[in-house]
Amino acid sequence: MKYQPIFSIAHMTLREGVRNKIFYNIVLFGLLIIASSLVLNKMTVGDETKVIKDLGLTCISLFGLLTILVLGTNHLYHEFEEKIIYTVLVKPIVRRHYLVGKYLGMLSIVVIQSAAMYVLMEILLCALKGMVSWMLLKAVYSLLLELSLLCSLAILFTTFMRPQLSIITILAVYLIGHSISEVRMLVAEEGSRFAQGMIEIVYYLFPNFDHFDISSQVVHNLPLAPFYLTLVTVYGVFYTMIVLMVSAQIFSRKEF
Amino acid sequence: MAKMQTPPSIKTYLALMKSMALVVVLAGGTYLSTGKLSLVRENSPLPDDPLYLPNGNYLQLISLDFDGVLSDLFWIKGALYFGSHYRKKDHDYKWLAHFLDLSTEFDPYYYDVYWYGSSILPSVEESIRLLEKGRTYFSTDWKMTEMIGFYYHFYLKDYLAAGRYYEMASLLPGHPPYVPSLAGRFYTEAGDIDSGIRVLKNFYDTCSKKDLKEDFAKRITQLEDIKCLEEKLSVFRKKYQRTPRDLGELVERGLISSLPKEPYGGKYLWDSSQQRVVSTTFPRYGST
Repeated sequence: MKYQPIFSIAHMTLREGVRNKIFYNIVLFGLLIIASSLVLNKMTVGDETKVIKDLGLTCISLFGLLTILVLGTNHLYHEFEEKIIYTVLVKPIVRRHYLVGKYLGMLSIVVIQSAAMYVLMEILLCALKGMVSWMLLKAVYSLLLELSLLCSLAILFTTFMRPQLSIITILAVYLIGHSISEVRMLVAEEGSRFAQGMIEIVYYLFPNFDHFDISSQVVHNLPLAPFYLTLVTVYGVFYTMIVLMVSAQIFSRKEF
Repeated sequence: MAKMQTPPSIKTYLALMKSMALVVVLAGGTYLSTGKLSLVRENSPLPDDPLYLPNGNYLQLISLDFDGVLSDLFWIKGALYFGSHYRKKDHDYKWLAHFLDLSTEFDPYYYDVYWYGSSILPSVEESIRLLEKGRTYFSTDWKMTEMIGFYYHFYLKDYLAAGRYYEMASLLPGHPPYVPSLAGRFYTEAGDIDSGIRVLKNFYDTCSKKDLKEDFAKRITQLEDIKCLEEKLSVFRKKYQRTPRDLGELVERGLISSLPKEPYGGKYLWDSSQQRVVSTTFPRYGST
């Protein structure tokens, strides 16, 4: 099968990832924080489940990012540095397939981690209110789209950067992506034409992570705009594909 | 012998074109979807509920040592919240006080939040509450105290409270000369002339500038005159069981030998609508 190597590499990456002690630490810490929402919700006035939902979704997002930063950037670089990649590239495998396999493996790790946190969140909600909030799945799905895009960015930066620099760059893109909408709004009000033009370029060039944040609507049970999830899927998948294509292009020219 | 380089085959060109076409389609899709998503997000109302925790005390437990940054964050969030509602023209700022309160919980010495925040809060009571909180940390700042006095006299028409705050501001270092003058004015406006005179006399005693001293002497004289006239009016009312037609009747009935000379060149009048003695010159009480 043409794409069999992709899945083999993805499987290998996933196996290595889940064997990593850091991964367990991150997941455990995330689960503990979500569990602590049981204490925090005592401090609220009104809907107690809101804390669990808010904290749970925040943990999925932040710990997903942490996993990508720690495992995603180091894993590929480690293979380059330790020359493990030679043992793979001597086999009849296209380089871009290798990269896509690595990406899918990383994404699987993040999906498993997020799923564990989501399940715990639902268990807590069920224990507290005796009901499961399926609406949360939409928010988790949207967050996974964001994390998949971040995963592809980690792959891209690791192809030509050291892990430390990759981490800083991913964090910078993450911050820009989360604040660009507000900056654009402010500049549209008071900025010069030049600043507005620059912000427009940055706005369309950098990923806008605000699009993936629907936790407020989900937590408050507000209706989503029609086709919002479709649109955000198109945006996330297309952007991820572009990043992966660029990564593959750089990786195919890389000399070891 | 130089090695012959084989030209790229048509298959390579086709693959390249295919990749380029895919990139164009993906980039186009990303561009269109982000534009549409921005539009959708701008038009869909999001809940304004900014936080699920009721006050900053609990938040401080989990803020680690990032109090300053969190304070900044809530102040910026508050300003953006105000700006977004101002832009929408719905003027629904119900969570603004909460943002400002959180910001000052994390950093109680964040002067700007008290000062500018109080000026954008929708309710006067909330503005006063925020400034009162600020006063506990900036106890020597006359501006905050004076501003509370302003809110009391201008919006709430509570002249006695205004006078008290102006008086407190007049005891703080760096206050301008009009502050004790306003204290005197609003005490008088509230009917508490004694307090007005006390504030002005205090300032007169401590003031070293000659021209200011002269002006305060005039104001003290003016208030003392008004006080004296109101006392005589009270005697008149007791004796004749009615109010006089005008102040001249006090002279006619022998309660005073003559009407006192108004220090600013005006004259004193009996204002029947307010049931009090007023002056025709600045500061004309009752004309706030």
